[in-house]
Amino acid sequence: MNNERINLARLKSDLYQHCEECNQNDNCVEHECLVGYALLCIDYANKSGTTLIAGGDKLIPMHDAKPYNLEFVAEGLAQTCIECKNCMDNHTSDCVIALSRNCLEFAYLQQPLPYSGNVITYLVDLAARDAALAQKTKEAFQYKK
Amino acid sequence: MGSAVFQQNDGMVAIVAVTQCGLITGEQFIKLSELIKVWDIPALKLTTRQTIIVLCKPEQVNGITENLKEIGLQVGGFGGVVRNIKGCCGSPNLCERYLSDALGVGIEIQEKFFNQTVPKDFKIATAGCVRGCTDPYCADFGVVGSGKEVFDVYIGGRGGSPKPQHGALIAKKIDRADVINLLEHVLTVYRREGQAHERLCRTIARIGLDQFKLAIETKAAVDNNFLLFLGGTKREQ
Repeated sequence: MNNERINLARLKSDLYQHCEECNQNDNCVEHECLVGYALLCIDYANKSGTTLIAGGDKLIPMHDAKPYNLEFVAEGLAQTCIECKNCMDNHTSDCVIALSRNCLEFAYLQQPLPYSGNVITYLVDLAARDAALAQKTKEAFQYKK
Repeated sequence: MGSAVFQQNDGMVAIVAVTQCGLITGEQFIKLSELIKVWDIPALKLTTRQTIIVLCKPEQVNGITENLKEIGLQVGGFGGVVRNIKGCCGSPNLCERYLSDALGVGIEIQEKFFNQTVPKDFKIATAGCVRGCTDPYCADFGVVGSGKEVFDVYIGGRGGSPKPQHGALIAKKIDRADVINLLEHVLTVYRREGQAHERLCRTIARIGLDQFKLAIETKAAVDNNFLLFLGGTKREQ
């Protein structure tokens, strides 16, 4: 994998919409915010020319309890699905797409979902966990594609 | 933080010259004696941190500091920095009781970490066996030889205080390279978790030893370049 194949700019743009509407901008501590942390991961991936951040999942600010709305999370998850390269067995949680997806999952579901390396299986798993989020994500995914 | 140059009661000034864990070569000693003659130094004082205090007049400080550097003796730091390292004679060539090369690892640590910025003074001691001649159990980061070229590591000790305390054992029988790695992780976590002017023992007491150790383990598993990136972008608390 490399950055040329993954369009991090689109994902960043989707995530940044949250920051534009966030009322905590003046007190923003990026690494303590789920969206802020995902954006930091994307910035690091861009800066270092890598898609893998070893141990990045260990620093996800999972205690961020700010409310995140369903539409925003679904849009973001859909974009991660579009950027996912369906690595199957080669999937790793160190992938910047996986890290961004995990941040969004924590934001809405308060926990990450297992990811088996392909989008279809993920959408099925997501539906089993939260039907409304899965439906919105699927709609956004189909619209964006 | 600053240079360890201190006004004395009698009007003299004390310059704290740092050695390599108390090791001074014959050539350095000869040059030091020449420096004493040239600057008419009234006295030197050996310290418990294995440094040499050079007593001089205030107007001599800059010149003597330069001369000390020329013979390989840096001026120490004080305040929120990693201090010079105390190392015992434990090494293959010296103390017969040695188990591990404490002098060697002490010198290596000093070369890599001396004067790095931290929330409060950070004292490191290395000892080649459990006797701990250099008080590693009362150091912020204490390294104790515990077998053939392996070390135990203690953190959060404190000496030079009316309430001295022993550090907590956080690693057993690790090799020299891992001691260096562990120190780097401890310093990173201390910089992140420690409040301004908070000694490591107080940081550990505040957040809990288990939490501190967890932070070290987490840090050890994360891409160091990413951590540096986060450190450069995050707003310091």
